[in-house]
Amino acid sequence: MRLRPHRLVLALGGVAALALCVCAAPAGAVILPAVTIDGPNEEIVGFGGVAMAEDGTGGLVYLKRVDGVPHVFVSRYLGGQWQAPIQADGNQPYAASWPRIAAADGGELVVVWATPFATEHNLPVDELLGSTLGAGSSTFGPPMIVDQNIGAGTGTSPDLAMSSTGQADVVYRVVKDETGQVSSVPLLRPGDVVEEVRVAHYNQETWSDLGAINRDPGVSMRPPTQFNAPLIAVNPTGSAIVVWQEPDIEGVARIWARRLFGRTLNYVLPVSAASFAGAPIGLDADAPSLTFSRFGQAEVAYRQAAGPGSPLPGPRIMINTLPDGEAAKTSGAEFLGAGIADGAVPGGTGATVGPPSIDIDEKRDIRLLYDSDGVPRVVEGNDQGLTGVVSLGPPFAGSDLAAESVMNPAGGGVSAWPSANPQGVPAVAVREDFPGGAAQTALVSGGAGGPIGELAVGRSTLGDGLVAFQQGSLGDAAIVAARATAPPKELILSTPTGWVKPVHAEVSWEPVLSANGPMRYGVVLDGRLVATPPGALSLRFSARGLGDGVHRIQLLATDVDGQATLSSPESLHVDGTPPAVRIRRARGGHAVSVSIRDPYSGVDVHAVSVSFGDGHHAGGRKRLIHRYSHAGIYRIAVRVRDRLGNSAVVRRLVKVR
Amino acid sequence: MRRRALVAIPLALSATLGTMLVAPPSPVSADVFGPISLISESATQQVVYAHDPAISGNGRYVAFDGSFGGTTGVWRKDLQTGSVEPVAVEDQTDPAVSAPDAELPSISENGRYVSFTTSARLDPLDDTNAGPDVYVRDMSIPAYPPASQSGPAPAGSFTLASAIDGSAQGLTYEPSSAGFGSIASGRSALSADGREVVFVTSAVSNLDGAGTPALQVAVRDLSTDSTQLVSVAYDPATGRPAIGHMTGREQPVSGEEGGLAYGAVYSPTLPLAPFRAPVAYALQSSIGASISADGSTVAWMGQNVSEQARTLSAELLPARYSEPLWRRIADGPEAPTRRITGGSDPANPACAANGETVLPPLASASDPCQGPFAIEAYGVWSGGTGNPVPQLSADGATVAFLANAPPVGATFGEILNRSSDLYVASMANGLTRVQAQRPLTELASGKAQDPATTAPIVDLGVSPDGSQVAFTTQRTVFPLDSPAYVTAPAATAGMVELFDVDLDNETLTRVTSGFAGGAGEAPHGTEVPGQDPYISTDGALSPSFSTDGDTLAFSSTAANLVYGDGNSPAKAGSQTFDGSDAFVVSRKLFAAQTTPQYISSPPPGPPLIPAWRLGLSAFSRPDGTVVLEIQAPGSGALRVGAQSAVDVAIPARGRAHGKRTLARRARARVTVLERTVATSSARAHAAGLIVVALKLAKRYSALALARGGLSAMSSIAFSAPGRPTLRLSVAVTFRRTERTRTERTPPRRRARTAHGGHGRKKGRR
Repeated sequence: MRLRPHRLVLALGGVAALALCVCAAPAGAVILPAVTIDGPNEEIVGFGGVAMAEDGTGGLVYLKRVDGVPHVFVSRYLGGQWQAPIQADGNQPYAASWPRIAAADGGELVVVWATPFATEHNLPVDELLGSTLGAGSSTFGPPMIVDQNIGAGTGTSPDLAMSSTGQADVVYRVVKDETGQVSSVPLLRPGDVVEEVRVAHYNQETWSDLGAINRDPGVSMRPPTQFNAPLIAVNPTGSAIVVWQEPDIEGVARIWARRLFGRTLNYVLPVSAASFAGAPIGLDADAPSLTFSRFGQAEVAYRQAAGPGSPLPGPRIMINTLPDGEAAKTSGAEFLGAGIADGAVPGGTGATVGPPSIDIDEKRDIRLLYDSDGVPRVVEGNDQGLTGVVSLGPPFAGSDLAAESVMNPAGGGVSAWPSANPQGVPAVAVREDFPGGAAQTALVSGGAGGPIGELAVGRSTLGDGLVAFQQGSLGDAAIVAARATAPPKELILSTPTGWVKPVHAEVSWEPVLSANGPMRYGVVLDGRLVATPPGALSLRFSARGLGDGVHRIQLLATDVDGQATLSSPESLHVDGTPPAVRIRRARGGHAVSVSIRDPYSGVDVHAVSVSFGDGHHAGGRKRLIHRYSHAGIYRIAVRVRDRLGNSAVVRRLVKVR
Repeated sequence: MRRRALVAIPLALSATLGTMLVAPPSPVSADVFGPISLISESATQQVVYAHDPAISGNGRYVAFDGSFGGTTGVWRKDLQTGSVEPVAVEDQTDPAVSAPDAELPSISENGRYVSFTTSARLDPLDDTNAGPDVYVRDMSIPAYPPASQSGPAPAGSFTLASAIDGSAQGLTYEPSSAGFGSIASGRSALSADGREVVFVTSAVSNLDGAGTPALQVAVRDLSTDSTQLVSVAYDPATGRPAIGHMTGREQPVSGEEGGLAYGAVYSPTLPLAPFRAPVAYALQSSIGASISADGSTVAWMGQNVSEQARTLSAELLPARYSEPLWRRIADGPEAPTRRITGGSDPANPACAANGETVLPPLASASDPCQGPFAIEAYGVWSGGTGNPVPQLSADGATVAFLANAPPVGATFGEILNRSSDLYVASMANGLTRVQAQRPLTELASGKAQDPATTAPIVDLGVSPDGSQVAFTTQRTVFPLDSPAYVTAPAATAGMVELFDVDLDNETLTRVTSGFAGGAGEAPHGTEVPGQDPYISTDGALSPSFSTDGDTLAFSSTAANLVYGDGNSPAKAGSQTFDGSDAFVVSRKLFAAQTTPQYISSPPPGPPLIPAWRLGLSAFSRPDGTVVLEIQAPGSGALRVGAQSAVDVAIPARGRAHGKRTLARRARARVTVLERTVATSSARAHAAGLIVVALKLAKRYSALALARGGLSAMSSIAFSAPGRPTLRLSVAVTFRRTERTRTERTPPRRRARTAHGGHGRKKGRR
């Protein structure tokens, strides 16, 4: 046996170091308290949304008056911090409206907004403008025209989406003001308007107007509200899908969809159901919510009204899937058919159902949040169908306020909805469901408190979510943001293949994906945390006390908020001792039996040699028997080596008869 | 918190422990300034022009120089009552108190004392020269009584500050002609208590004895009538001010280059230009020094830097080379003058260790002796538009200054006649100059003729707590990420506007704008497309802060900052009348909100469940012992033993029954038996590494000397209450290769004992 010299001092030092590293990790902070980005003051006049890119950067946009004129302000979220708000609409002299924001990796942001630029028949004519905050830039670029004429900017309700690579699409309404004129389009219902749903595409340099995408320009549309605004979603490849509400030939407002491939528009797809259980649905569908997976699967949830004669038992959230074409027996050319997302809605036709919010991940898991008679309900599903419904608390406060829910691709997600604390003070309820099944809840608020205005949630592909909202009445409003951070994901740990000597016991790992770095790594050996240098991506274990056998190795990654993820165990095969030698007397005490065994890496039989003490030698086998010709005491020397090279010489006295 | 309502599923219930949090103050709030107020007016009339406003620390008074009702001099506005009072003004009815050229006021914390510079002899007994001198006016003593009571000013109303040490007698100057004497900077020359005044001589004087060179910095303590020379020569040998052999005192600084005499303080012109009456559209003085509000510290733009402060040992800086300098006079006469920034940083410990004696020709950021700026022949400040006087926080620890030398690694460092940028530096000990300094502005292009990107920073001020820095410029583009420019920029460069840097919030805010929105404007000549109709000093100047940093006073020639500003000239270009006014603007403060938030406890982290197993490694030591390193899984008792086959002599026993029996017993006297040759035990108090040394029992210790040592099987048992006992075994060898001093020879075979023995038996092979 070859033994290594060590010093006791080092051993004691090692003990001390080990004792230090075993300290418990700090408790994780996951939902962080909301911070007030701006206000409260009389200058804040609107909130435009929040966006988060795949890499966890993002921003929010709002309207703030400067010298009495509303302008677009953006606070960028970068490196886990909200940056000071900056103005996005540059030198535009006139009031901005309808701000929207989208985010790409590296902190890149794109905003669009509407602003008047001319008058026509003594009425203002608005244009839709866009501006970009580059990844390394601190100021927005000059405004670019997205659409030079969006009418009076009534009900524009743009929706902006952006891929991680910086391609963006915006969908918006252009309502034609025909006040005092004979409408060019017959109005299906009183109050209907003549409008176009238009899409524009941004290729990182310029905006291209793709024109109107609604199916029938000769059909009037419902008057614009926040619940029938068009939506668009872009996946990381740059493909997009747009949904909107438009009456069908029967005059019933349905939900429709079209795919976009870059600047190419695909055909129109019906989304909402025209019938249920064989009976026609004659009431409008509204409040669409759209999500689009990396591989092209789209999920659309919408609210289907019900009334007398309706085949539905009451208003319901319906859900429909446009497959990505990869799943079995689906083509991706049409929606699979709308179904009720949650049948357990109390209240019959008088039930109150709020607008839904839906999200999908790369595994085709879905998560849908909506207000069911004041109760936040989350519907979960996967590519096999809907899997369950849970009710969240606390209840919704207010009516027809949007709730938002996003997924953590690793499981669970972040949901936020307007609520109130037990004393009735308005707040935003935030709930984060974790991949492991646990949950954290919060009631967050900011500014000077007050009613919750518009609310938005953004998420990264890392599972982090940004919740932003306007709180407080106009004149005392604030822009508030909270964040829900996700635990680190995708821990990849590598261990050596086969058996290694203790001095070669080394593991390495890939940097963990997280927006909440820098990460702290700790290697867990047989359930014990081993001191791991900060920033290291590999660790060579101390051979001292490591021991032979198969060790269970895991990686514990902890982010700046204290959230930790433990990887699944890997095996580390360590063999630091030479084969064991067993010498026994045999054959009535006249012979000896030498057996060599190594339960770890195995015996190198070619290295086995035995001197029996009587001048005879043997070797090359794991088991040898030698008969002595004379009785006496003999000193046997056995040289052994295992397949890793751990060798030893074992000497032993035997007495034979 | 109603926990049941918050959490609906059992899993969440387990994680929910209501935690009340208070939202932290907003870390990202942008600064918002309220409407601008015109203060250079009384209830009945507006000034003809007003320059150099300085606000008192309590925010109640603003002193300014200008023409009010045709009377020039220094005035004080009471912002509470609205009254405008003369500080030192022209009085045609009483020449004894007439000071028509009084200018450059500084004001004390409570507004009672106002320092200024004038060539008027307001203290005719002590002020015997015709040149400018520095006075401090005590506003609690009326100095301008009705004409019927004309005569010398009441005692104590005007105190001559530019006076000889230990005397009220004023300094004398050479030449004795008008225009040369002592000058105090506007806004920053007076301590908060109004008792200490810093001034700079503009002529050879008797400040430190006859023939004291011009351009020296001195502080006058009015309460003790002492005058201290601040700009003193540096002794590289001691690192302290040099002491003159003849005088036994610190030495003033002087140097000559190209036939010009350079002093301690930068002057834009040499020979010096005479003191002059206020000029329109211009900074009023480029010579001066600042004193901190607590009177502890003085800063100035220095020349003859090598004579005043530490440089690299072989560094040859020309006398004209200029740098901001800093001296903490509160630390006593041995306190050295320190460089605020520089081309070199000899005080960096890494530089001293490096042994570098002169900077290499090419500046490198990795050079520990390299300061923040690339060395330039004219220094950090090479003249041009801008106030070269560094500004101090109340404790003197933070310095804001302008520089137009290129920072090391500057993008646009190659521009000739580079415009100035704004910097702030900490003078806290332990910082290298690179660490201490940060830029607050940066050129946004290399286009020297584009004021939007390269206009100079003209004037500056720092708040008493050092967290706010105000500056003025025509520039509209600020490319630095931090401080982030958070307000709408002007569409094009126009007049000089006022900006505020909030170092706590890391924001840059544009403060001035027209009352109807848009940029500040004033009547100007014909516009030429592509050219800025305003000159680089036309607009906002002279920013100063109240003690809380929330009120800013400044001057501006803009005509549209407030409604009803009626003194602007019809056309720019007048040499004396620019229609400038003094203004104040306050920061909008939002009440701190403590909105209760509730966040449940986060779910616990992933559990670490240590495996109940032992780890073991073993090695032999030359002294014949074996060390076992055992990784214990928890607290418990450890028992360790080693077994080996040893030859044992069995003494003959029993009675003889015949020859065969006797012979058999004689053969059986030596045998081989398994024996425990070493034992040890230990206790683990917690999981961790335990080191156990196994030593052969005394009777077997000699076996370790045998060739190859003694092979044994070591067994380890670890027991802990309630847990299964863990057992391990490992082959070990007791092998002794070193001998103690007493064991110079191999030990002899020891006597056999009743229980066993050892040694070789004759005939054993």
